[in-house]
Amino acid sequence: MNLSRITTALVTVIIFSTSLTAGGIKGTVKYDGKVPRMKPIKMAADPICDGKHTESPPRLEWLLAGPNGELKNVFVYVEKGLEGKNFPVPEKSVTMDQKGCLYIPHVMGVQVGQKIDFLNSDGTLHNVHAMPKQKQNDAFNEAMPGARKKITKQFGEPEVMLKMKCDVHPWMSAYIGVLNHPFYAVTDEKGNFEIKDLPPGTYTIKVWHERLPAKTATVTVKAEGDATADFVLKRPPKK
Amino acid sequence: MEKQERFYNILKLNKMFGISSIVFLLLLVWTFAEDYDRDWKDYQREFRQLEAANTKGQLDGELEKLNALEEYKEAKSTLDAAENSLQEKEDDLKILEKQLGKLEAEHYQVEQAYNFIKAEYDVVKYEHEEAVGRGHGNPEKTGAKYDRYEVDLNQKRLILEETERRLSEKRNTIRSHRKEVREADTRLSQLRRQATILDRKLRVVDPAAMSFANKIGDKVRDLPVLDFLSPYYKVDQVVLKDITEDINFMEIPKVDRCTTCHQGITEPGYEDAPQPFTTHPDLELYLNSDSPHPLESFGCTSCHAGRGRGTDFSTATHTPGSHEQEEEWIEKYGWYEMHHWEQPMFPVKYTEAGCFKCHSNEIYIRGADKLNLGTNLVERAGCFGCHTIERYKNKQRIGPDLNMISSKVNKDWTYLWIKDPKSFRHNSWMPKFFGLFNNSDPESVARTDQEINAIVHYLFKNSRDFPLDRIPRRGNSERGEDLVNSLGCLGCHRVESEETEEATTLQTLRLDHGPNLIGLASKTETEWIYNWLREPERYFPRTKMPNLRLSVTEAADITAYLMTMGNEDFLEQTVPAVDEDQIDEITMAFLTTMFSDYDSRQKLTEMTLEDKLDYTGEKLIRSYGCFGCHNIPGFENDKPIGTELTEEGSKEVARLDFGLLNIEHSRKAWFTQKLMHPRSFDENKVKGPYERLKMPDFEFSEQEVEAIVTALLGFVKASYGVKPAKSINPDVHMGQWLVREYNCQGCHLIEHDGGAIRPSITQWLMDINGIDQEAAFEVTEDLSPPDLNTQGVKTQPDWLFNFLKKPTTIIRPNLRARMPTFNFGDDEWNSVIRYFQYLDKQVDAYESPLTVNRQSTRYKAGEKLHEMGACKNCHFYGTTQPLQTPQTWAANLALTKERLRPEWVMEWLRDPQKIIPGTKMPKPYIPAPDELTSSDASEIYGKDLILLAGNEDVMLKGLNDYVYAIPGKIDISTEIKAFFDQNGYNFLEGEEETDEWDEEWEEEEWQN
Repeated sequence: MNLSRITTALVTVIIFSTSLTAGGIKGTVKYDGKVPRMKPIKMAADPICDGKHTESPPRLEWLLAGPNGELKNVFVYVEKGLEGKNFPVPEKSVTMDQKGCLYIPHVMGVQVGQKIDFLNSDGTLHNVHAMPKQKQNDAFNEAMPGARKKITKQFGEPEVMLKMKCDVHPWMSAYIGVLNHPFYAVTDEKGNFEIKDLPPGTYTIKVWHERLPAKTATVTVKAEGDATADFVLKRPPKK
Repeated sequence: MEKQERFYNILKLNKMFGISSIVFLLLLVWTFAEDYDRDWKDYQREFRQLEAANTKGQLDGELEKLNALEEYKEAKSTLDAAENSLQEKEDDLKILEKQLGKLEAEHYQVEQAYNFIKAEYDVVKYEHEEAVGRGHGNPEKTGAKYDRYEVDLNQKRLILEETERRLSEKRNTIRSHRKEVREADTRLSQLRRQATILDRKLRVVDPAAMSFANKIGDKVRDLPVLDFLSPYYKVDQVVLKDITEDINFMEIPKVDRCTTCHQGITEPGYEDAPQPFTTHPDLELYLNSDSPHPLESFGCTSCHAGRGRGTDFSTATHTPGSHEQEEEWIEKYGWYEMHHWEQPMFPVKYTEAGCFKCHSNEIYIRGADKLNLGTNLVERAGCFGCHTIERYKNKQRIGPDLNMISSKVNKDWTYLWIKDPKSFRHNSWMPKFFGLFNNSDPESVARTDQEINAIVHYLFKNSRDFPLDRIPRRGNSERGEDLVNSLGCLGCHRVESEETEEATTLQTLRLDHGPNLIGLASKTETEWIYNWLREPERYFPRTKMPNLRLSVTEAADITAYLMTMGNEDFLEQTVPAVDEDQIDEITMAFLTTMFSDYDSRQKLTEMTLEDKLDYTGEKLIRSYGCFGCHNIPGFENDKPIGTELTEEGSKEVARLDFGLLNIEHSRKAWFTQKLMHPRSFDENKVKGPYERLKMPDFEFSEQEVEAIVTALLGFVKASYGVKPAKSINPDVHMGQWLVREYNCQGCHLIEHDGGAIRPSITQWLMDINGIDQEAAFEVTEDLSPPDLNTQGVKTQPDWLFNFLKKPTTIIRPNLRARMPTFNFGDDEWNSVIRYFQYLDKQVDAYESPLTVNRQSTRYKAGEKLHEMGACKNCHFYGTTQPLQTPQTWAANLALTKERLRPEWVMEWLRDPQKIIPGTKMPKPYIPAPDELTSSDASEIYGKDLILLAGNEDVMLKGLNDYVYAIPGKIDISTEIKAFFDQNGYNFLEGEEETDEWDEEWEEEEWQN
């Protein structure tokens, strides 16, 4: 235990001392094609959920793109190029809220061992069901009644992506990218992402989307300034 | 010198003596050298280097680890500091010690003085007491003396106390100085322990790490002659008193010397080392002293077979697994075969054969995958139909009942089927008897064609009638297909028109339990299928096909679906007419085995064609052994026709008939050849038609043959002091057999294995709901026949017994697969239940019911937990439907009190994932103690829960109590059925169904 902590710390110090001048990768992910309209979710089965959406009906979130195809909720991460390096686990936890009977955010990243707080802002019963494919990751499934405000969990193995669902509200799903390094990002409404503080080097960057086939690119990061990587995702080929 | 008269020349003789003694000396040296220089020593030398390197590596690693260890560094610096300060204080210490010495001397004097005074004082005291009490002196005088002495004594005592105090102070100072050093030293050596052990080992193993004297000693101990004392290089052996070997009819203890060369076999860390030093691949199961098969008790050859006393490559009877390996070994090790050793080592690919001799009474041998596949193939192919195998005694014949064959199929179909079963169904288990190596010549073909005619004649002539009910309505084949895909048929049957390339596993065999359902329209009639589906046991009382309790409509629909699949090509083949000349020849062939040629001819002329067909039909069925797999009228009591295989793995190689085939003379080679080409041993043999080999061709794949050969090699004599590894209760055993024979694992997961139906359920869910594979896969666990993990402790035995006998109660409301009714007797069901209980170590058959006190705090707390857990969202409460859609529906909680054991429900509530991984049932919320003390706790949790103060067990018991008190209708099958009849099972909502995604999909062509 102690040993690994020390070596981790040591390695980190080495890495950060050699790469004080780290760059980053910025870019945009776009979707090429006609954007399907997301289907409205019928939440009538749970009146509390239904009551949270009085203005407009909630819709599914499996493909969210702007007027020019700016793609939201794409998980962008360094797939190769960091082998053999260790990174400290952030003390700060990440949060996934259950609000309006949807997971917020729908896609997020976390580091191996980093704490994830699942919140329940709805005051109705949710169940937090992790469905990892990696056997070492905990496939928990816990009830979260309105009174239970927080469940804290963590995953022990890298897995992109690990699906979360709520069996009580079958429309609820979310994806968590579990990595053993901090170099990932999720695109915003404008399809933009930014991976910061990467040590100089050549990396394989992968973009993952819930329904669209993944893509990779090789990006070289220099000591100063940001490298750029833009991606265009298309539909899967016709079956 | 006087010449002596001798018959020999002394000079010559001396020469001869001289030469021969030199020769003898050389021979002696040679003998010594030969004896001294053994292969295994080279291996041990090599291993020693490896071990030294390995130990060094480990030591380095350990030291590195130590040096990186914070605690170690700390201890080390403390020690250094303490030692330094000790050094610095050395002078002080010296002074202190000197002072201490002085003090001690002083203290001694003072103590002496005190003791003297004390003695005198006591005298004075006595005198004074005497004077006062009895008048033996002058009390005044003695009184004054006493006072003087008392003062003196007190003074001395004070001095003594003072010196004692100073003394202990000094001692403490010195002790504390040293203590620091000692503590740091102890801590350090504790941390260093592993390194010290390694270091010591290295000093023994690695000459480079030895002192000069030890180096010499190390050399000397292994010198010739001297090495009888305590050599470094020596034969390593285990003697097994309890396991004996049959050597020339003598039972002598097994001695295994394998570790002499396989030096790293028990040591972790040589996984990647070259042979013979490699670590055993599974030390947890084998060799380790705390494993089930410790080296001390089992040695090596108990499992691997071979000659344990051998200490070189060939005499240990290493056996190559392939021809290539044999060549390689000959070149590398000068390998030769030890012919006289009857149990040579199993080649690696057959190693699992060794498990069988102790585990033969186990139906499934955990961890022996290939062996299990082998025994399963033996069962599925029905080898025991013709070959008696003790393990399969009293097992039912594997093929269908032919007592009423004429109601099912016609003569032409039967003819073509017997001739070549695979031309009708590509993956049939019925083997091929005709068109093989020894009966493919035109003459044989002409004869065997008529043989088949005679067999068909016999079967149809002796067939009883089977009254068929009319189908009351026309079926709908689409609905039928949906039923076949969802009711559970696909747990035992496939519907596959094309052959697949998949490797055979226990799971694929489960799907081969029943026939592939193709081609039926060309085989049988609609009515027959309908009647069979409705009541399979009416046609064949001991059929393995259970009754699915199909309604008239369901049976008609499935029939309609099955009748959409035919095989025209098959029926287009010609069936030759009966040829009396050939029949005559066949009749004569059988007659002449019993009568003289003259009598036979006489008899033949007296027979009509019908008589001849009757006669030959019966003879041929007996000769080919058809009754080994099928119930055939007239053959109820016939004995199997093949060689007994119970101890086939111990059969002397000399007793296997290799014929004129030029193949390796070993059991494994003979078995392989026999299974791949059963008739090939007839090659170049001159034999009459009914002397030839008759074993049919199952067209096994190489992979299947390897597994069967593994099993056959394992079927050894149960002698050699070998006891079964496990004693199994006969009831449990029977239950396990039933589970296997009736393919329960086709649908259910039992002992974490099985559930072969699941991929087809996933496919069905995709088809009816229009969802993608991933989405369907996620819900497959919940919508498939249940995992029976913990079944033995889960249900109340009474309930389970009644359910199994009549499984009509619907338990999982949204499950379409239907538990069928098996035609089992009470004893059979009891043994199945006993088997489940055995798996979960459950002994009690009768238990008290749970009594619930509804006034108790825990019950009320349970009620609150139940409300918070929103169980009503998914569970039925009698006929009250869950609040949510059928996708999340779960069992009727009113049924719990009758069905489940409260102890199990507690464990289930504690962590459902632990019992059924992947279940949608979430772990209920049980508040933690600190949550119950928050300011708004009474508002959220209510007073009863707060009273329980976060005691998880009591809270779960409360929840349990609440569930057991839920009222309502217990069997709601009718209501559930009515719901799905109306709404259908396509309750999973496909997200894309109404989106525009699909329309666009068609519009454009997409590229990668």
